[in-house]
Amino acid sequence: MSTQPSSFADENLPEGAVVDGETLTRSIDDVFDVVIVGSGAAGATAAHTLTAAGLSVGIVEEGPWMKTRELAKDVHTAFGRIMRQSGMQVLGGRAYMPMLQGRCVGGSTLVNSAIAWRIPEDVVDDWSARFGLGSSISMRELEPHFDALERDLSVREVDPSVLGENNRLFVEQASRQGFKAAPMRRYDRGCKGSGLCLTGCPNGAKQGMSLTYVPWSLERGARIFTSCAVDHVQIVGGRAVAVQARSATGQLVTIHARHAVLVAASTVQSPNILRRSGIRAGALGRHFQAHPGLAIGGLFPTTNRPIEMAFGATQGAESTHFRTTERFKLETISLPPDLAGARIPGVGRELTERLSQLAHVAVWAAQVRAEAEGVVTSGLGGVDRVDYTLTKRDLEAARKACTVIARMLFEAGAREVWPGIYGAPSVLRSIDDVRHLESAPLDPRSYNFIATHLFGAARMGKDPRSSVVDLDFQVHGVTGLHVVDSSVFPTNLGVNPQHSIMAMSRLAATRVAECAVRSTLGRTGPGRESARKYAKTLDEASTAA
Amino acid sequence: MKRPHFNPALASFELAWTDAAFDTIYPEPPESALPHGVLSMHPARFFQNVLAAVPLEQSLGLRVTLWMIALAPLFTIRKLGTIASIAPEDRVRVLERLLASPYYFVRQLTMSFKAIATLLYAQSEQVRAAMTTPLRPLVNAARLTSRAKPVHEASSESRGSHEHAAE
Repeated sequence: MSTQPSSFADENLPEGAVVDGETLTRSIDDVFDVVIVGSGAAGATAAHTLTAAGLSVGIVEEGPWMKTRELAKDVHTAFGRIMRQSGMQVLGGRAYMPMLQGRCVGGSTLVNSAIAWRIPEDVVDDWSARFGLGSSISMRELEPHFDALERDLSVREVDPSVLGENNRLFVEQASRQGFKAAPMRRYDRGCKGSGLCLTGCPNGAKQGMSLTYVPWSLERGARIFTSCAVDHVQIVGGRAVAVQARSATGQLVTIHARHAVLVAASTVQSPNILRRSGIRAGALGRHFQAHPGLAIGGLFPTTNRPIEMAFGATQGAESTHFRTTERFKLETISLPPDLAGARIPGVGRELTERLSQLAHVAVWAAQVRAEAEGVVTSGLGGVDRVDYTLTKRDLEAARKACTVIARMLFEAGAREVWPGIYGAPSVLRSIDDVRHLESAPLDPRSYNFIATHLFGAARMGKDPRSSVVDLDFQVHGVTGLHVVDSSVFPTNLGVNPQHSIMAMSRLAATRVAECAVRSTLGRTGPGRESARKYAKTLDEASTAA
Repeated sequence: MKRPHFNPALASFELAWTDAAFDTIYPEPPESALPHGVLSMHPARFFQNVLAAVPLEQSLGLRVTLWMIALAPLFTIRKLGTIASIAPEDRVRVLERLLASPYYFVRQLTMSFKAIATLLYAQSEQVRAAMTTPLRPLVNAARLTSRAKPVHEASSESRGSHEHAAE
């Protein structure tokens, strides 16, 4: 059994640094240099960067702060507290697609698998060629930020001692098929292989934002307002001046910004916050993209070495072999019984018979780099809505991915494979049965996708007619209002996006910090070269701190 | 922002339907290969709490699902009665047919119901332990002979519509 450290980074926080909206009994009116909406990957990274520059920062977070010691191991309790809509949020369109988003301090970094992927170069080239981002968002600009993030958050490959059989078998099988595959690189400081990434790491090993950049920013004087849902950003005379929120107890929370407001509330929430703030850009809410994910289970003979998904990195192995050719990425995912049960065929005796052998089940997955674009809108009662339907090409990619995974599972020794595709057998019993998947329907209602990794809806670009923010992440025509989350990404990536979101946010925050410091000192703009030098200064300050 | 909530308590007949449907998914031994069924975990109370905790739209959707499952015997196996009043083996057939329905909403809503049943069932430490502990070959052989039917037989018997279930 693993032992917990004596204290976690989310304990013993500076006095007064956390204002809990669940117990707030009076309205709040406060002022900071910069106000950040959201404390997930983007918001927390920006807060850390800005506090390193000596700026005062207020963070407004809609969800509660779920401390490491309070994390529940069962999915129902955990999701009810830390997931948006208790984990029941869905994308609409021709088919419903569950969309899991953390709604807590740290956002989805509390409940994801902490996978670190630098933005692929072909994506940056595409952004430059098709969207004119050019040298503003280049590998040269981003690399120092990736370097800093990897140092801060201890990015490393999954240690073989906690790889677990689900991951090990995947790497072995993929390599046998001639696919490039490897253990993942993750934000990990001492993973014990508890397999509980999806409900929050009970050992504090996963370097999510609630254990790193948020508490580190609070140490530098930032303040966080938790359980306070932002209604809108106040814009006066074309300038963002404050954020208005409502605490869980119904109190009005107004946070004024001397220099800037950074919106980092996620691809689904940020566009609607901008809308409620009076932004009317034509591209707002449009061009939403995702990586729809599919998982396939395989039951192995009990005479084989057990898979035991309950041990090992939740997601620890991957292959980008098909990323550019077929537009999907293969990876493992160890599902807890709470989530696996619903996806295993049968009810009653048949279901429980299979569940009794869950320790012999491997689950491998694919995330599709879908070309489909959706629209983010606001529904009745202010509910965020996304309308999103996959294209035929996306479904072809998904079908191909299912075929590849099913074949891999059988070749690894599985005796049953559960593809979960309507129109194909629910149980495949031999590799010959995989042919059924090759002709599976190209209908989104036939697949059980989960929407992971969300992008776009407040896209970056030079032209205000086709984009929402400019190349410095500032909303066109509004001084001091920036969007720094993956809403600004012109396209999806084809790889897990947290690392790229953080690097982009760090880049944005560096530019905001430079601008704020310049305006404080009354100096004039020194351009991008000095922004890079400035980022270096911040890094040194960060390291020293 | 606070969202409107309208969750009147489940009526006694709805509670009975819930218990029956959950029990069909996770029955008591010997109909289960796991240590106990879900019925001892008060599924109706759990379902009611879920309805109260989730947003209005999802809550209404789940309630509609309960009604759909409750009244499904008539349009799936042509039997007059609700899910609570028919025989256990008929309940299994009803749920299997709903999960394999050609109508997207029917199978998707039934799947959500199964997912919620699993969220409750997996909270049992005993059940979790049984699910996550590897079976040793000898033990497994004994289990397969002592149980009513092994997986491959059970599922081959229920081939047909279920064979194409999008689970």
